[in-house]
Amino acid sequence: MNKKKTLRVIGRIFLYGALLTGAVIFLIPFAWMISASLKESKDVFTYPIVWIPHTLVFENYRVIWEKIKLLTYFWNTAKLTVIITLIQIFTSSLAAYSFAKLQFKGRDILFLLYVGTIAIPWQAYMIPQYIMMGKLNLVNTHTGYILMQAFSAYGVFMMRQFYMGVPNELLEAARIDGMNEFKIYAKIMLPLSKSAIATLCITTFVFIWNDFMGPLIYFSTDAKKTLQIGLRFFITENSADYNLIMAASVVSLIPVLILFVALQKQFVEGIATSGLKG
Amino acid sequence: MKNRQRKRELTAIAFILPNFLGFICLTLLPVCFSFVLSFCEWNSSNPMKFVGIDNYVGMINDETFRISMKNTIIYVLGTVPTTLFLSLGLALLLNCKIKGRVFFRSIAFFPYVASLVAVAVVWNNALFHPDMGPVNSLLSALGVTDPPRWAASTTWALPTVIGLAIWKSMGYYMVVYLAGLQSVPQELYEAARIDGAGAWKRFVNITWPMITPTTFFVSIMLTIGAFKVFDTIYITTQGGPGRATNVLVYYIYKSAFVSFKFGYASAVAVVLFLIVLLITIFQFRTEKKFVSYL
Amino acid sequence: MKRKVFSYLLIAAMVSSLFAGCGSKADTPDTSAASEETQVEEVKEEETATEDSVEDVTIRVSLWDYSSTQYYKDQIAAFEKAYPHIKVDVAEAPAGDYEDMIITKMAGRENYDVVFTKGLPSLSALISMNYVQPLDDYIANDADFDKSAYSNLTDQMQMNGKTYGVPYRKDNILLYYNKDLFDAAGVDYPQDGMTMDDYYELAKKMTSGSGNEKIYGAHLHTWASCVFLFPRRVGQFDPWGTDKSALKPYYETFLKMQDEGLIMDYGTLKASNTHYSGVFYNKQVAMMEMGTWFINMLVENADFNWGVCSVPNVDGVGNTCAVGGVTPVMIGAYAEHPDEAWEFIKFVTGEEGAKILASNGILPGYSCDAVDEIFDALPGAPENLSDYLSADTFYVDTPLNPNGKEADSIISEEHDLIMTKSISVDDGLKEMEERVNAVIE
Repeated sequence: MNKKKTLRVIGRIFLYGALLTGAVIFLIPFAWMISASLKESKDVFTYPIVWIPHTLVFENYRVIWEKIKLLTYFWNTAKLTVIITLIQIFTSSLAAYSFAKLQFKGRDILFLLYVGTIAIPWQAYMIPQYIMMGKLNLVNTHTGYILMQAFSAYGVFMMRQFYMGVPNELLEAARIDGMNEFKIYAKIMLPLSKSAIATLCITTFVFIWNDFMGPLIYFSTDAKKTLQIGLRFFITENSADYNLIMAASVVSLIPVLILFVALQKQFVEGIATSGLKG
Repeated sequence: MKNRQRKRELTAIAFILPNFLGFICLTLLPVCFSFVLSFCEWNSSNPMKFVGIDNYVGMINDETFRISMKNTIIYVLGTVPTTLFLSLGLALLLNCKIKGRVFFRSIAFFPYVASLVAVAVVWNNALFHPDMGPVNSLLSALGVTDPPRWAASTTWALPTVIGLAIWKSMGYYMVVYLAGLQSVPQELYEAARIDGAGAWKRFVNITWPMITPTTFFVSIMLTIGAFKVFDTIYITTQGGPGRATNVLVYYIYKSAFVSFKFGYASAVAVVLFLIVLLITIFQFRTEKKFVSYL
Repeated sequence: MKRKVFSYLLIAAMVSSLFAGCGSKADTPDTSAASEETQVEEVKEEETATEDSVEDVTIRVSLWDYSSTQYYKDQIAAFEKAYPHIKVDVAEAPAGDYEDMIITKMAGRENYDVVFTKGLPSLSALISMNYVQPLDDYIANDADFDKSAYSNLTDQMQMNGKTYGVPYRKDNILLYYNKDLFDAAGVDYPQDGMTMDDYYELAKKMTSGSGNEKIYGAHLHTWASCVFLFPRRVGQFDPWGTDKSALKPYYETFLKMQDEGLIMDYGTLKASNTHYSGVFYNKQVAMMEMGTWFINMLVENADFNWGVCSVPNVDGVGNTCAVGGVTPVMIGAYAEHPDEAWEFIKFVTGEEGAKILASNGILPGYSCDAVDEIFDALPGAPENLSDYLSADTFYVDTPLNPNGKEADSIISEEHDLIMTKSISVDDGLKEMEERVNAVIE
């Protein structure tokens, strides 16, 4: 018994040792971002890398708010991200329920079509899409961008895969109890797929938060622009203030990290399926 | 009876409609346009000229197309299986009840959200610097006389980018797997434990079959993502040195915005679409065979 | 079944409407942009309504880096003061993505009145897509416009016999050197008329130290033009020409310098995205070839003495000719106020605009004595600076060609291979020839 315990302790030590080493490696980019954000522009790319700058330029964190309209960009990005994420989750989970658990003709073909279009690179249809949006008067509007990003096939695919794992018996039982499909979706499926929704939420959030080309092409007035466009303004034709870019990047990462940590809760509760036929 | 069947179908369609309408108008329509464009010559302003399958025939003799196709396939083979297994391993590890797992999960997720510029600098400049990086120092210490020049060499640039891509996206797919793992009913494990099944047996008999929908999703998304890789290339190597890391979507981008051959760019995109569609159909078939949905 | 047919019809109708929009030339202007414009006008009108009754016009100007560039703002303020009835509405994009954005916008028939572009390859592209208008009528009929003040660069902006752009800026390349480093090493400053061998020897003398303390004798930035502009300056190289052998001695010299550690390793510079300014500011390099825009950057950032001379070449030709890029400005194809756009172009590229550029350390396309004086008076500038700013012969870096952008990117790829020694100089140049010739018919 005692021997077993020692083995276990040694195992734990190894486990944590490995985890900590991994953590350090994963954290290097972040460390570099912070380090670069506290340097002068000319010192950012010196080699060998100086991890702790000779003089810490905290000034950078103040300058970024003055040099560009960071606050406006922040607000726009937050607004767009939240709206798109909500629409995305709602419409994707609805459609996914149908693809996973309901029957209709041509269902599989249609689904394949959905997934297939994910494969087409945006660069290939960017201009036709832009021309079309121009015709609909949706260029340089937040509405246009929201419509463009909110109905991605990706979310449908992801949610469908999670729903596939929900036992059919559960739904049949509900149907026998006289629940209609929408009620089943709202009362059974949604609560069961919290972890999937959290994943989709993170995915969409990160994607929209970091999207650059879309906002660049669609928003031409300053009042509509987003964070990622703002970051690029620190790289001009002949200079590149990577210290400021990194300072702004660090700031812009905070909401993403908060969201991630907050949604962590959803990944620890196992699915409650007691009462099911094993 | 038929009426009821009808009603069921209508309900199913009603569920899809909100997403589908948006999808048709804003994605499918331009995609169809791009499909038609692949049979035309167009520089974005002149009237489109129908050229039949010329664009497709042109690809056969296009050296850059061949190079980018080859690079893309290498990239797909290099990233997909490795990322899949590493992210699954990471998810299994961080799904255990260990102290500080929220902390470790967040850290593993970090490279995914960190700025690509930072990730690229750290990878190429800190870890894989050809002259002074720790990786090459280690190789030298192990007796390798001429260590690779990584991103600066035509032979090693692609593997270096592949490594970077795996490192960056691993944490994200770990999250997807974590979500998948939550849907495995705990009772199954308890029952198995009572039967005396070990950790490996429990993984093979319970976890793996139960998370196949997730694995299916992850493998398709990784495949599509790898075929569509653009940002990583655009920011780290710009397809270089020479054309050593030129991949299909980077080539599509260059055909469109450097050579202004939008028809040709669309044709390459259609080829990409067909390849990915074939692979997806194949994966669907396998899914039907192997995935257990209880 | 019926429903299916209907949905197919619907899709077909939508697709065809999309086509109708893209294919036909006569088209209604982008209404969203127009409505935005009227909004701006309304606001402006309220301000000026009491002053005069001349109808205000707002022109839309597309350029990059506007918010971070002072001279754009100064010029526009001066213009609006000189032309009170014309207001300027700027649409900007970050420099790196500007060209992709402008193509997309113009494909959507954006009604930009004035379009700036970053160089001649992209001007060629805009011309071949008919996204900019010929300016010949304006140039011929406007007595105020003096073509000769632009070192005949307007002629270099011709395609099919029509002129499309006016040079806003020109940037010839110079050899910059850190005087302090030369003084410390007791080596004479670089001079006009060096041969490549002289350059190599000088770089060797100036290289010292190791590790973090190492000083490199010279610096070669990663652009392909950093090599091909050397022979181009003395008229020995045509980027679109069929023969690339003129590059050979230059590549051989630079590869030798790289092998001997006189310049930093190309592959590493490229992989790490190292900006040329940092290494020069940090006194890590003694000499560096760069465009005249670097003057402005040095004035603002250098804490050491610096000087300039003409770049070396195999024959030792001195400061008699210059080579560099040109930043043209054009009238957009869907402009709603082309006449006002011309007034704007004339202003920013004319003497008054040139003075504003010069006082910011930027070399204008327009040459005059006033510009030279401003440059010589820049704080910290070497005393003979203006000698290098208005050579009689000015070669543009790349001539106009509809496929210039693609050929340019091929030259870069082969340059990459040669400098990383993935291919021999001879094979690389041969491949460059073959591939460029295939693109330029």
